[in-house]
Amino acid sequence: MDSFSILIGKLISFLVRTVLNRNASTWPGHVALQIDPNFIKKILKKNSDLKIILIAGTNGKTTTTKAIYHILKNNNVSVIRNEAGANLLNGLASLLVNNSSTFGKLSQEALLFEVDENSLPLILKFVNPTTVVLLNLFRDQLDRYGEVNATSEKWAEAIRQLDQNTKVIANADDPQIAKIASNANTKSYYYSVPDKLKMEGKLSHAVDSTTCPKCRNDLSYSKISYSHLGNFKCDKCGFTNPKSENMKIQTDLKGVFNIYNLTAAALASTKTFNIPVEKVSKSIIDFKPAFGRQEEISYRNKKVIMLLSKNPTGFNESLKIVKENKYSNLLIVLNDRIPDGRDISWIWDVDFEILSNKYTITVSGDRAYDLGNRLRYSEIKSLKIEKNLNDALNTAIDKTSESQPLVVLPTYSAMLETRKILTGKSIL
Amino acid sequence: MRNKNYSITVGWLYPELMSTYGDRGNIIVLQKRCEWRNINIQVKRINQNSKTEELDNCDILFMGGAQDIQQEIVNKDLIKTKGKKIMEMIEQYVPGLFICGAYQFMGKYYIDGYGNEIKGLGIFDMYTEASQNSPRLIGNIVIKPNKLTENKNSSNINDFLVGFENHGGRTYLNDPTQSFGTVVKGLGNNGNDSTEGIQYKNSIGTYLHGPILPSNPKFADYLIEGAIAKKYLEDIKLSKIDDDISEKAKLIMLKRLKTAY
Repeated sequence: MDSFSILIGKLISFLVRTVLNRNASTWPGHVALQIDPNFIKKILKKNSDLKIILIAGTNGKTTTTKAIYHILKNNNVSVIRNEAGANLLNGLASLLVNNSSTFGKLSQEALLFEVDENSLPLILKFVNPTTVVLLNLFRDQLDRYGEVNATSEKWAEAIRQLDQNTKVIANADDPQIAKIASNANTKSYYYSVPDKLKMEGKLSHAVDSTTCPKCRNDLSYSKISYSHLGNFKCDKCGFTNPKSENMKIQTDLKGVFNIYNLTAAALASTKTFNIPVEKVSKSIIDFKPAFGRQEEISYRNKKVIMLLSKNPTGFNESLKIVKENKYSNLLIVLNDRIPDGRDISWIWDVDFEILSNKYTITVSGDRAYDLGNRLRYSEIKSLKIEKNLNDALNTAIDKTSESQPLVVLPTYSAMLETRKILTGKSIL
Repeated sequence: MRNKNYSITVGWLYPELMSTYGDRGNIIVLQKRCEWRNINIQVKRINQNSKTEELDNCDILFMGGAQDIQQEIVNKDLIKTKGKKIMEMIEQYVPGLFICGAYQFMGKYYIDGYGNEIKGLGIFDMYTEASQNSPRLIGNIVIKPNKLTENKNSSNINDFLVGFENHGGRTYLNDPTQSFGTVVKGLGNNGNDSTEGIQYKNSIGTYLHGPILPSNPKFADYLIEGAIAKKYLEDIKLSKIDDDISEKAKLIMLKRLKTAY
């Protein structure tokens, strides 16, 4: 029966790849699950030595997963991972179909799976992971994910079902994540970033977890790294950051959020495979994130930097990178398709007010005019609105000097579209 | 508009707790549209620790939506302390805008997904029911407001309001003629009776995010005019602002949703 599901799945993979010329990252698993809803459980039973790491969180899943992959490869651990986006149950099933023998055996030692926020509880019904990495919870696509507290409660319930054979790698600086991990029966480890990367100051506008997840009193922050991540304390019940493990991270990547991602990846790698911390730190230095995330592409002899910016927190961090590096040419692309979230209200939670008229800004995408309207109300005058992405990109490139890069801040589908134009042209 | 120095204060109710869906956009728009016309505008943040008297000189009230836990904290504070004052202000024609969760609070009661009844302030003659089994009402929405439109038969894009709704609760008006608008595209109060929101005197409750004021600046001006009219006892018409960008955005959405205008 399993062999049958696998064979059919592999056949589908073959057809999808050759006939449709697409990535076979969801369909084969979809079919295998149709034939046998317990397909995942059965295959994993046959591979009881396989170490499984799940990675969940609003922001940083793809980068963290890729970083763990990079560390394990560099330390001679054979590993497979899912494609970004194929992060539902059928994505996991596809990963198994595509990598197992007809008899359901996998040759790798490790499987990494980045999980959609909504799917984590469901995935945990089928998978007993070695390690679960919990990164953060921010407001994102409220039309799809609902509100942050609701997601956090679903996670807490799912994580509570795990026992001490599972390790949880948790962000000590996100109050909701810290609470989930400290209430669990798992073996929990916490990570943070050095205090020098955190600042004193007020919480920004787009924060979600300002109340104590234990007693609902207001939390006070002595230092903040970004959004609601930082050194917090509840004055009423005393809930505060759990003690975190020491990790040394060296990287060229920009943004404190990437230090969090890499630290999570390093900690997950050492705890799951007993790789010494020094070896892990060393193997992460040359890590490059996935496409669209601080990716540099050359286009018409000019440098383009892509900073995927898909929710208020991510966007605010991208704007900080823009400011700190004195980039002055921006192209912002706002789409409202399913992968972007159909509700664009969140653009009003982004602090565009930190930009001034020193910047040359072009906006594009399905909702270019709504974005233009947002920028107009933040008093940005040097603004060009061009709904057609191709034209917008060319306009923005024309305005870009050779010494300065063009920085593109796109939502998810806009990132894929922009990248297609940029890389498609560069081949010619 | 004459060169008189008008000055108004917006009372932003629970800005930290009731602010989930880009609600800040509504405040930014009220602020900028006053500043651009040299009208003095103050925004007063009123939270659970503020004294009720701070509401005294507020000329517009605004409250946004939130998550359940936050709503619980706010509901307690409203019923215990500030609710009575807010009711008096609305009765005295102070313009108010209450979005989503805030709109539900202002009704008689709310029945949550588990069947618990939560008492509202009862300013608006309506109630809301949520059920575990019914799907959330989510999507782009177009409504035709009942009172903002001066000429019922006219049809230009400013006669429509566009937004995005996302609510689990279904709201029912005891008197449907009190609705804020009629649903043209989308779902509205309950997905059934074509009503959207409620208007009582100068206060409006609605499910429209988007946020509503940036997408529909004429509505923002209606609130500002109402505030000035009440405070200065003058019937004023605000000077025109070039809203070309938001009108284009609205036009694109109306076309996408195949709205006849």
